[in-house]
Amino acid sequence: MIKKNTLRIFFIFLPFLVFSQKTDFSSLLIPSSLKENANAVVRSHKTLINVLDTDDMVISVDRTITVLNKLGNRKVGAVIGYDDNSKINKLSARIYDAFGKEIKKITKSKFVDVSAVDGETLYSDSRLKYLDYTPTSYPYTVHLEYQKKTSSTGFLPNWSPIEGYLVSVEENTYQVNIQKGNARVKEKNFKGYDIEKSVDGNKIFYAVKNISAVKNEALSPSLEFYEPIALVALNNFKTDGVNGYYTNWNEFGLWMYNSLLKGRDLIDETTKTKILELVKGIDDPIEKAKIVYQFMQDKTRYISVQVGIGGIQPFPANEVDNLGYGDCKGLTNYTKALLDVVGVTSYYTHIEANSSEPVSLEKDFASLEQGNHVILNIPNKGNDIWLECTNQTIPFGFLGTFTDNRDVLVITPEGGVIKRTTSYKNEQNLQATDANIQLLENGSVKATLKRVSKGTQYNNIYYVEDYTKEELVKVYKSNVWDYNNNLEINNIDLKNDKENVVFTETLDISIANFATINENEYLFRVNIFNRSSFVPKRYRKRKLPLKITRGYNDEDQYTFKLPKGYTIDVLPPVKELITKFGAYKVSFKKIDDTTFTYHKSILIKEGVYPKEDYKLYRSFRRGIAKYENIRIAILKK
Amino acid sequence: MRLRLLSLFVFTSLCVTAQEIKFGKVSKEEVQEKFYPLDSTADAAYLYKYRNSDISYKSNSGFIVTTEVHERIKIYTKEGFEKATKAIRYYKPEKGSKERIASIKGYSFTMVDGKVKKQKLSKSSIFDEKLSKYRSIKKITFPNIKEGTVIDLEYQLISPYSTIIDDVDYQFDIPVKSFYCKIQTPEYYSFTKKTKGYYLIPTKSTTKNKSISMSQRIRTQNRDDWGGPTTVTSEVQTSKINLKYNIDVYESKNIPALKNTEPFVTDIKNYRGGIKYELASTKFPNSTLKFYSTTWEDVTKQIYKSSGFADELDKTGYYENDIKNIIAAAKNDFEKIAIIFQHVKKKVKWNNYYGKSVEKGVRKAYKEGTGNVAEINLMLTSMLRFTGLNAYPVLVSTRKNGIPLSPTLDGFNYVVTMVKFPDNKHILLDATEPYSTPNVLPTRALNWNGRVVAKNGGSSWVKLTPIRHTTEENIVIAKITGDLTVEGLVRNKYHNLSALNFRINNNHIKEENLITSFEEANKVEIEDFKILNEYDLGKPISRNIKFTSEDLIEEINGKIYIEPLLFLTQHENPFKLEERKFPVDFTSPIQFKNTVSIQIPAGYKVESLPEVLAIGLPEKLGVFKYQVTQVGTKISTVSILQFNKAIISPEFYTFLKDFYGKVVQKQSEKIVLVKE
Repeated sequence: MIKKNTLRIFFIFLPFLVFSQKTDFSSLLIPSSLKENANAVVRSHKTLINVLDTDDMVISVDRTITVLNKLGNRKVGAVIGYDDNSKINKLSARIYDAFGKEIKKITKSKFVDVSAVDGETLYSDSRLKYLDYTPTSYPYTVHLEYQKKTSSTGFLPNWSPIEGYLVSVEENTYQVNIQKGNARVKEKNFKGYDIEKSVDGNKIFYAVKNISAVKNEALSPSLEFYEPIALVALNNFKTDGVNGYYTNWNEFGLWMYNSLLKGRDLIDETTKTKILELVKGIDDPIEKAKIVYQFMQDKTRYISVQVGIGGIQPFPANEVDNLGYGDCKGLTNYTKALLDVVGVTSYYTHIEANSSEPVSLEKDFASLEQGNHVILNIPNKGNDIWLECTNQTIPFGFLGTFTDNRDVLVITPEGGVIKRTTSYKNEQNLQATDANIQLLENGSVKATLKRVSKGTQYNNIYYVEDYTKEELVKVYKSNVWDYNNNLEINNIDLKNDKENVVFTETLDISIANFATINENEYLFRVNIFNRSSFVPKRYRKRKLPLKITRGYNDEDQYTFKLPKGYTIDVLPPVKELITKFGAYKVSFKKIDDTTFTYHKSILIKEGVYPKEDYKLYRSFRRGIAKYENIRIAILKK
Repeated sequence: MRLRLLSLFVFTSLCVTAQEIKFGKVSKEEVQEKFYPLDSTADAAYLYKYRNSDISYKSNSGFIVTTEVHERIKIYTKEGFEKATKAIRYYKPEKGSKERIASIKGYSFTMVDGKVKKQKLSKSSIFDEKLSKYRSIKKITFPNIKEGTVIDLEYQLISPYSTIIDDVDYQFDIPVKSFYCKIQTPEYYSFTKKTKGYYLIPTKSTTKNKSISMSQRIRTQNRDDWGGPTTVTSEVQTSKINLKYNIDVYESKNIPALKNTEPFVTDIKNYRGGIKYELASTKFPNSTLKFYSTTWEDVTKQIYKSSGFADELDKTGYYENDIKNIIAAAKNDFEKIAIIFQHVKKKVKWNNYYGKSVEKGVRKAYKEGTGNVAEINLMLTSMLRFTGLNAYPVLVSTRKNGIPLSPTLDGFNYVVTMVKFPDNKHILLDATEPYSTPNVLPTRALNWNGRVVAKNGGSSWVKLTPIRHTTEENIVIAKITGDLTVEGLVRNKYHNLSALNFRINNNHIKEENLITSFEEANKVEIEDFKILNEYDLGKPISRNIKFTSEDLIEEINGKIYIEPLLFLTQHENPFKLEERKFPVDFTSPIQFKNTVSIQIPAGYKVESLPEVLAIGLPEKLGVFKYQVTQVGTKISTVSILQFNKAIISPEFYTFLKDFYGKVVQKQSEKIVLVKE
């Protein structure tokens, strides 16, 4: 009932069902407001989706785009995907010069046909046809028309008129006609845009005109957090021959559980026996789960294979057991099946994985479109444990930046439940470095260093555990401390405490010619091992809000021993910067005539701030960067 | 009895290698091994890599190439897991003869509870995918991979293209413990073989007599004696033919891995060891000797004669009028060249396809305004000739295609244009790159030598690697203000290749973004920014920037420390590893010249300046000159870093690393100012 009401917001008669053809392809009269910051202008993009039946959908697109310069070529968008369930019926493109004169026509057979997946994926039936056109001059205009027929109606194309950064939109319309069944709609970020719309149960229409190009700016929220978007899903649908029905996440979960997961959790008797043997005598479910997880990690590896129902059904557990590999679905389902054997309840969980910024599923809108990854949930009396099953080395219960802090769908036999994954906030992401540094008379440095990483900082480093010595040395020389020439790593000791998710590096380091030595002075940089020199780009006119996606905390404590014959004169005073974005503090302390300590602390807090704050944040980081380079001079006795 | 023994003996001696390592039989030691004994950094290794390519005769399809492959791969670490997935590309056009992959068999061997567990590769782990109209790929992934797993894979690649023998590659990104490769070619085919890379396995060549059965279908028309209807009978006649096979064997143990992790590398594959096979000639019974390629002269001639090259040069009708019109005003040959070069660049855009011959033809390319490399540069050559200049196409092997070591058709994949002058001087042109200038070819074409093709198909070499230095010149005039900021002007000038690259990388970027990235890279704030001669290719491109910075000065205990080159200082030595087994490739001889003048603030005097330094590399490969001097209240610094060869061979790597280390150290030395 509630759904129906929200859908009947507007009730306008739809004026047209077929496209009105754009006839003028000249790019001379594009308004300057659409050319500003734009590499391409979408002149008109019209999508018509006809849902004829639950297993019969025709998507027609009529698109005209003007490319203004070389960088706009990638926005032509003449790329059409298809797979075993769909067929491209019509496809053609025409190219026009700046005056609107047709210069080339490309028929369907001249489109290039390739596999849609990268080298990472072992197999997928997804394919693409794309237009391979070399522009002879700019601007030029491409008019693309295609029609695609598919028997899968589980995934409906969304309406998202903004096609990324640096592209403006003159006109975009979107229309769904549903001959059979009902659809649900979720609108996001419509505020601030002049959107024409009309939505009832089986006719959906959106149109927008004249959206200027958005320019990407560093440290800003992703476009999807502020672009207008309409998600559409059918209540009754069919995907790869499987019928489905849902109107909310609970029903979605129920469908998924009954149609795709049930019965795929059988485990061979030998493996059962083995796993039961492993947990023998252990009662604590979490301890059992750890053993099972370790067993799974040791046994399997991740291979992406996108076959099966819509790429959303897992391989059966016994098949994964037999092959020793699987994709996220197969490995998660397998782990779940193993946990069932030892009597630990766990749930298959749908998630939108993305390292750059956590993205949640829409709590109030269920659709197959959402989610691109699967993890495992163990309820654990309200203190949920999440398991990433595609990684052979990640600690039990640790998620990292790929899947943390977002709303996900936990699929139980009773239906789907939205839950939030573990978050890693500011101080939790700690890197603490302790070093003992001996300065030598010849200007070289000898140091022993212990670096401890937790939270997302653990995530950033723990994988080096598997590196060979040669690779490790290269990491330290080229990535970690690339600003120190002549750095030599004499000894490396790594400790990966998976139980507590702590990574500890203990290193013996020497750096030749580190200090500058004059007649009576010995000059050197104090911050040898953690120089935070990041300064955000300068924008003369910042337009987007500031977003600090991940907070962190670095603590550095170095004890310096002076070379023979030198003494400490004065040490720099305490430096402290405190802002709403975080805090920075450096202090020196004299221990005795030849020993002093340097202590540095950086705390950066995650958050979203108005655009005016960008300048302040930049000056905060500049202040830090400058002080990170500080050198001091000690004098000859 | 005696005879039997003898034949047995012969049999065993031939099959020694094959018997040593038997498919599907892996020893416990192999599975238990924890690391590759000769290179503990290896994530995986080929314990055995076997290949047998045989051009054999099949009665229904003629000569075909059958390649049998057996690979035994040991996986030591998780990083090595990717080696448990094998991808085999093969030629499978929509129309025409197809290659095929057959008899894929595999096992994985893993230690389980102290025992070796053997598991068969199942069909469901083999995937076939169409890559393009011409190519497909088979992907095979092995089950149950652990650290320590050994996998055994066997397959056949059957190709109807009997004149193409795939390169014998024997060096990879992982080491090879035992390598065996046999290439069997019938006497009718003659191949040239050339080694590539920095690792060599000698060829052991022998011959062997074989007999093949050739079948022919003989059709006979029968007419009965009474004038009845004609009947046709056909029968298959089989005849045995004896012929000689040439057998090349490459056998080696413990071939080291060659990985790429270093800067200034074109394509690491060019440095890995292997042998190239290219058909030189064929001589079938009852037909004449047919040459394909044996010398560079032959290769060139063959390309010249093949359609899509010389014939395209001779077409002139499509441009005659246009060219006549535009060169009417030209005063001399140089102006003619400039006008025609510009005309082609403007008129025909490169579609990013390489090629030594045309695809759609010059006429169509001209009309449509797009073309591949050959279309564009053959057209350019033709137009220059049309106006009476001595212009020639030059065949080139791009950097990705590898160094043209052996005279092979595949050795070339690109064409540029050369104009020769009466005084024997010449210029090279490439109209595929809008910002290229005479004698400045784009990086992709700068690969050793090109082959100049004369009008009769004769040919000779020309050096492609630039002789002139590509230069980057920076002049800074700055002053330190009372509040210790540095203000100043910088002028960057780029010549030759660096000018081309600057235009390619920057011309299409909005000024606003260029400013931001310069500010970011150099820790300065820009007040004024101007690029000159962006599109005026005749002049060096230059950039004038007015900047200020608070980050270039350090004050410690009342003294001021400044790096003499300010933000131009190079702080990092790009050469970090102790050893390098392949050359450093700078693409072109290169010179960086920095001249910086700094006005010191009132109330300060110079306490110390860095001392002068002039150092060089052996054999005049490079030089660094650095001098800081004081004139009144100004400090002037001149720094010249120059490499005189585009490519520096690995024997000089240690010198180079050391040399660069000194450059970095010198440039980091500070000017020290004290209060007066």
